[in-house]
Amino acid sequence: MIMEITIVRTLLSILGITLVVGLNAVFVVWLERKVAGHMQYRLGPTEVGPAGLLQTVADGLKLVSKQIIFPRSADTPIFILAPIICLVPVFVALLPVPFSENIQAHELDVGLLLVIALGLLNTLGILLAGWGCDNKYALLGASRAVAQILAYKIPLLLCILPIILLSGTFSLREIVVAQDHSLWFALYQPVAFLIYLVAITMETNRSPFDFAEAESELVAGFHTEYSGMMFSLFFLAEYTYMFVAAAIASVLFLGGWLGPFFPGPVWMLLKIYFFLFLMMWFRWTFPRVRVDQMLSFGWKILLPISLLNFLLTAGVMAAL
Amino acid sequence: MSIIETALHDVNVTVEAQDYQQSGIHAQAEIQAEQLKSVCRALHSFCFFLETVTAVDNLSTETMQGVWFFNHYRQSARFKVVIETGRNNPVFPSIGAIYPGAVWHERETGEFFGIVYDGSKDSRCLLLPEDVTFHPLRKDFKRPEQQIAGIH
Amino acid sequence: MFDSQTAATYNLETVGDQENDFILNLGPQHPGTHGVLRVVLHMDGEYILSADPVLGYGHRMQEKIAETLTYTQVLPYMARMDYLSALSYNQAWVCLVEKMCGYEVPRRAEYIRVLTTELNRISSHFLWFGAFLLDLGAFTPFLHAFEDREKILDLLETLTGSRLTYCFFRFGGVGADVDSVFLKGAQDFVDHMRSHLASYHDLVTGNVIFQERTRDVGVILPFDTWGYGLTGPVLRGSGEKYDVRLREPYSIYPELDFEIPVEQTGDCLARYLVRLQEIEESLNIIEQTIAGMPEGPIRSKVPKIIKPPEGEATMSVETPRGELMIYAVSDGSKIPYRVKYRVPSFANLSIFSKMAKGQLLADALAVLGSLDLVIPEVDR
Repeated sequence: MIMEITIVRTLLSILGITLVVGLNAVFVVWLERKVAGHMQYRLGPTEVGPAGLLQTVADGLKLVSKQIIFPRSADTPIFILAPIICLVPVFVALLPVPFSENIQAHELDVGLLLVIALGLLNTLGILLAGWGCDNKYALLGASRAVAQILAYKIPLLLCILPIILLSGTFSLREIVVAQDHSLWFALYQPVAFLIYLVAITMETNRSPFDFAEAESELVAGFHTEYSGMMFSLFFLAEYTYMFVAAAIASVLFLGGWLGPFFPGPVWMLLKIYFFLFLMMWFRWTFPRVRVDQMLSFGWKILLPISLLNFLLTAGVMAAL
Repeated sequence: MSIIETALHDVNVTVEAQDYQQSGIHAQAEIQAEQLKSVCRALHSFCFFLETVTAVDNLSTETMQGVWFFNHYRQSARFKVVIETGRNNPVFPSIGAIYPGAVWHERETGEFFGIVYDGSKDSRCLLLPEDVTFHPLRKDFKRPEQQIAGIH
Repeated sequence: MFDSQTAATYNLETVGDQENDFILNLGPQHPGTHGVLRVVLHMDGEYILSADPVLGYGHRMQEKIAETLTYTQVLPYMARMDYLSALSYNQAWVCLVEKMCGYEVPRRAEYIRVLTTELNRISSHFLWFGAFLLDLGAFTPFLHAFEDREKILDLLETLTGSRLTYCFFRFGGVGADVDSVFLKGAQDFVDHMRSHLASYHDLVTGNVIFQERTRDVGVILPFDTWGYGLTGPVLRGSGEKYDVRLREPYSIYPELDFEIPVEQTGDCLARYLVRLQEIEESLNIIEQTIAGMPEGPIRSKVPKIIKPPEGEATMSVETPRGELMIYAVSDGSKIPYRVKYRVPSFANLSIFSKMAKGQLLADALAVLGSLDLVIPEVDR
């Protein structure tokens, strides 16, 4: 009996996560194009479906039906593996994300650690993509992605640590519960919140930190040689990764599903899309930062500030 | 005394004033090939900028004119330098060492007219493909359709 | 990855330890080169050790074409060289022929020429603005600039009939007269841009990332300017106040009141600021020509067959990219004996390999963007 419940639960979780990933991709891509359009005196997609909502579906169908071109000199196993390695971890990273008190695929005591660890695998996928297709632009893009990883990952972790100190748990669900009877952690930790915002923009390779795929410099960066469905896997991974990063941000800093009037999932999605909108706003406003500027920004500004912030929090916590 | 004459005071060339309203050129000098480098050095030290390097192929007189245009940023002083030589295998001295921008102009003029710029660091084709064997701006060049139809 | 034979073919320096170096073919199809420019780069990681631009992918032998056509037939080809400032090229050719033949131009025609050329200059600078920001990775300013550029194209379309490759000027005049609707449209555009240009500065100029990306990047020292024959905003960004409209005034420019913007630092930011100020100055010029537009004919009588007397002449005009000089030799027939186009982008690009040395790839593309190149003009 317990066995059967577990199987049903697992199947439901997989179905749920796939639905979230698929619907999110359709919606976020549409939203991004609409946001970009209105920022640029345009309308964005209008033709397919109501207000162009089904445009992404049409684009997806086109991408699926296209031929996948394998470069002759590519390392084919790595070439095929790379987009999969990019996509699978973000699926798994959705497991411990709580959408309300009782909507969660899997409660884990170390949910936060799992998400952070899986976030690193994304870069492995990019590295494999850049190496496997034997293209100089792709290799440069991949090497940029790897070079920047420590510059944002350490400040990111140092921003999460004060939250763990405040809530005393690694479980994403417990972190939200801890904010139920106090203020949201963004108000306790404004510095960590801002640095986290910058760091997830870097982590998801979004403009102004999109130099792994910098169009004007590297054509398309690490996915220059990818076409059709393999390209759209990278695309899907990027948008899902944005979704995960935004979900973690709202759990850590904005009290997850907590909020008045509306039910939990609505609040959770509102907060997630608030972060996604912020990332779109960055992308369509700023020019691209140079690689070395980003590295020195990460190492010389973000890292010391987040370290100080962490030490200060720890000191205050110890004194209290 | 114009800035051109001042600049070329120490170089032994005759500067002829031109009708600017009619031709757009302030002065012109016909010089010998050996004098070109010293003229250019004098002009460069007076901050004349190089407008272009080109040539005119005169089929009737069997001569090839090398033409250099200089001008000045601070005042209007277009100066044309001319060297005349025979049409067959014309050679002019390169001024790429004095005016680095001249290298591209010389590469272009060289491939169009079949001129050799002596002492140039870079004599590859610039605009034409690297394997061309013809020089399209020479007056005896025939376009492919002219060659086929036998018209002149 | 590093092949010394290729390096020798492409004039790349083979310096130091070549184990980790590689050669990167930037172009001829690359989003950062805006056209069919190819640059062969010898790189060490992200750093460029040496660069060699390879030209000629858009070469059409314009000078030979000009030697086979009559003076009138050459005129439409002008717009095909620099398709972003077709009217400046129009002006250079008609002024050259008028100078050689001694044709008179009515004053109204001169005013219309200046008015349309300056509109064309602004539209060219808008396109550069968008493309330059695209090189820096910002997409939105591109479409903002295109929105305003569209207004100019619509305006010029009503007058000239074409949107990009104008063939509007005639020997001794212009092709069509302006009406009050056009003048009102131009005045409305000036008023709109006066207020709207501030949003460009809000969106881009004040941005920290933009300033960091352009300040002290790709500095052109004053000493290099005359050696490479630089002209236009590229030169004026390095502190030299040279503008053909000022030094060798043509048309009605001596009567107009406008400034030549100059910046001293010589970096990408200086070139950017010079061009944005030029947009403002062009707005001033447009306003003055609208206000002072005289009545009268728009074309003087010129012969049907144009046969300039034997001799030679040069004519230079200021295009948005710098000094365009056309040198023509006439043998007294109706076909030019020799035509030489001295194009500004060609000289401005020739300094690129010197500037790219030791730069990061991202900076080199910013420099390339700041030179404002039109490749069909370079290749002709």
